Amino acid sequence: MELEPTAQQREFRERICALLCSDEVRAEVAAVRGARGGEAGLLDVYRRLGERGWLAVNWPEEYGGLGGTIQDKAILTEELIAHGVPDIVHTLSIDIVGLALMMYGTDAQKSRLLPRIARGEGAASILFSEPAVGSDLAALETRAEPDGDGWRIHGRKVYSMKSHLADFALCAARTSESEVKYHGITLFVVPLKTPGVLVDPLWNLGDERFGDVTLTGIRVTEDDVVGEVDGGWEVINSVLGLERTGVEFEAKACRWFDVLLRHAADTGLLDHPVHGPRLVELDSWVRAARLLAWRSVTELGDHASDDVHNAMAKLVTSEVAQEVAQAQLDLSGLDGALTRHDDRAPSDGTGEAAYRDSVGLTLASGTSEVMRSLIASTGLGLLA
Amino acid sequence: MKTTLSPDQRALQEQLGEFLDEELTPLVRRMADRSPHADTEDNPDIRAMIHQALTDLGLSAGLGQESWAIAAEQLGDVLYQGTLLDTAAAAELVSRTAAGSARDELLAAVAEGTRIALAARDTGTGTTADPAPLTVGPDGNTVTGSRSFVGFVPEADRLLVIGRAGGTVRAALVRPDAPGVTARRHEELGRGELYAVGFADAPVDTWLETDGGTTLAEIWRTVLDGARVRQAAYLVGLGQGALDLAVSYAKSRKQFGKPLGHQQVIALRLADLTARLDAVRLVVRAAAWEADRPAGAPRLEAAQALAMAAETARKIAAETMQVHGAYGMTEDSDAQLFYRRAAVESLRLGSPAELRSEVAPLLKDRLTGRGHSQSA
Repeated sequence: MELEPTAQQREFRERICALLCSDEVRAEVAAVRGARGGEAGLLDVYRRLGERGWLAVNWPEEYGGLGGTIQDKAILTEELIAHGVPDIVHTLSIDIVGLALMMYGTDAQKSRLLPRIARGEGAASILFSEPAVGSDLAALETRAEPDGDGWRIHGRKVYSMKSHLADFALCAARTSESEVKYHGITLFVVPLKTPGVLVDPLWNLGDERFGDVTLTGIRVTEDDVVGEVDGGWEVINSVLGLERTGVEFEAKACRWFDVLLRHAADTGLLDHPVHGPRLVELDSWVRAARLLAWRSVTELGDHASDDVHNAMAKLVTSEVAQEVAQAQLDLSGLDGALTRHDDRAPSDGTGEAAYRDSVGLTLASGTSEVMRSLIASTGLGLLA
Repeated sequence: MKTTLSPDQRALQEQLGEFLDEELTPLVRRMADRSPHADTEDNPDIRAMIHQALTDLGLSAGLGQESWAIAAEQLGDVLYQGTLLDTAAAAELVSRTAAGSARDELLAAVAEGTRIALAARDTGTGTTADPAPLTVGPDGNTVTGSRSFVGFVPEADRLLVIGRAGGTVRAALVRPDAPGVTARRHEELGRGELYAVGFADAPVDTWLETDGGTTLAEIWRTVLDGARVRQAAYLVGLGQGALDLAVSYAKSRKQFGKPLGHQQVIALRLADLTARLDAVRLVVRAAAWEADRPAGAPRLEAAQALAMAAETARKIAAETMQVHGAYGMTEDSDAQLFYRRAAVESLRLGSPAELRSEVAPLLKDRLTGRGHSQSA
């Protein structure tokens, strides 16, 4: 084992930290968090990170990065979350859509689409889930009908975050009927700010809306296909598999725990005979989550990514974050239910927001049940 | 950050794997199992041979904590019972005491295979961070007191008696066959070799003294941190052994026309425990890694690792019983063996609740840094 960061990693973390601690960034974050009913979009802090090449630090310089490592990227994610910067735009644009394009996109697609999101000037979203299709993605009903040298896409996508402000999305649509349902799905890059795409809000438990996206005959061509025609399933699986390092979840667990610990120390709850040991227990599981996530990050960096390790990381990190969010209610009592808009809310309502946000963690990027199935089948040889 | 093993650690793991092979594992698992229904006699000679062989493989004083943790996982996997882990803690304590010929002789003896049993508690509760009282005779050459849950007393070469005496912590090496030493085997859940020991003016073979500076109480606490990490690793291995047993049974046992493991309800529970155990394994190894660093003192982490490992091992053992059904309860099945041992081993150095309660004040130290985000 070697748990000590390299000098370069330590320095990179310190430099990000210095930027995120600047008055301008703190003021912006406080304003976004304090706005009633508002939602974080393309923040200035993203542009500040982007102009330094840090937002997609692991991408090559020609696409707006610094040619850094995936560990550098993980450090950025951890620091964004540790400083309370809303991170969903970043995760969607860089970690998922950007990763898919980096791995499967053509050079033309990369040049056209990546630099803008790396600079923090544009965002990308995902159009996978449908009203009748969640974890069973291969059953999707959105269709891409042949149209001259291209296709026209018809369908409805839901639970899509940030589509109302993103420039483009990665959209899964059926291009061929096949007895094997995993065959015949194609991934397209679709523009969002165009007629033929309607984005309605789906208000929900979290602070950030879902998009209800209707695609009515939007036209795409081969230039917009990511990966092979009919071969989208492979792209989805490999991108989702790689993206599941769990770093964003462990970072949330760390942040929520650190806030809770500070509150417990300030109020004397740390010395409580029940709450003190409970915090010791949570602290150890947060550390476990972080170790699992970093194992996956390191394996990814070494081109030795392991689907079962990633599934374990995603499962445990998201569930631990949820446990922390639940625990804050036990510690704070009814005060823990106060939102940031109430003056008496402990820790500016971080705990109340965590309780709501944490629900999505075990659903996004493959539910806990899907992760357990993967561990059971691929890891243990069960279920087959 | 890297979580992989070093070449040396991998080599140790392979050597141990070769030694504890498919032939020896069933024998080791039933070692020291005093089942009243078993048709085989418990054999201390085999335990002595295994202690010697493991010592010769390098499981002795001087082995780093991380390597010890990897080895202890393998010992837990085969439900090893014996004096090896106690001897390791004793050797660590000896190595931190005053320099001199007595210390060197003791360490040399341990490296040759001398077996030492720890005698620190006089009741079943507590973490032994604060050892039980001990009375030192007027001439300073004898001890009087009682200890319980001391392992393998009849076959140990020495008992390391730790105790509070005269406002300080003392450590004495006593021969188990010395006059005034009485031992009675506990009748307990694990059916293992745990003894209640009485010392009535028992002669002390060697007093372990410090050379000033660090007190014996502080040394004992540091030694205990190491022992907790090794015990945690042992429990991770025990959990892995039980889990492997459950997975294997789930693949072979058919009900409702298909293997149990084809039932989602069973497969997903085992998957969950697999992930949790893997997480605990990393925490335990991280605590060991920390202990090996210069000035590393993972007191909070060692207690946390042991508490997690204890809970997880017990949970897995209980699930292993459930997967096995009534067959798991029979003497033929190793499932009940894991279930019994998980209980005892998860409490040897303190219950999870006691451990967490003891280290809760240390959480305050986290607030001086940036909590969990401070290093990676």
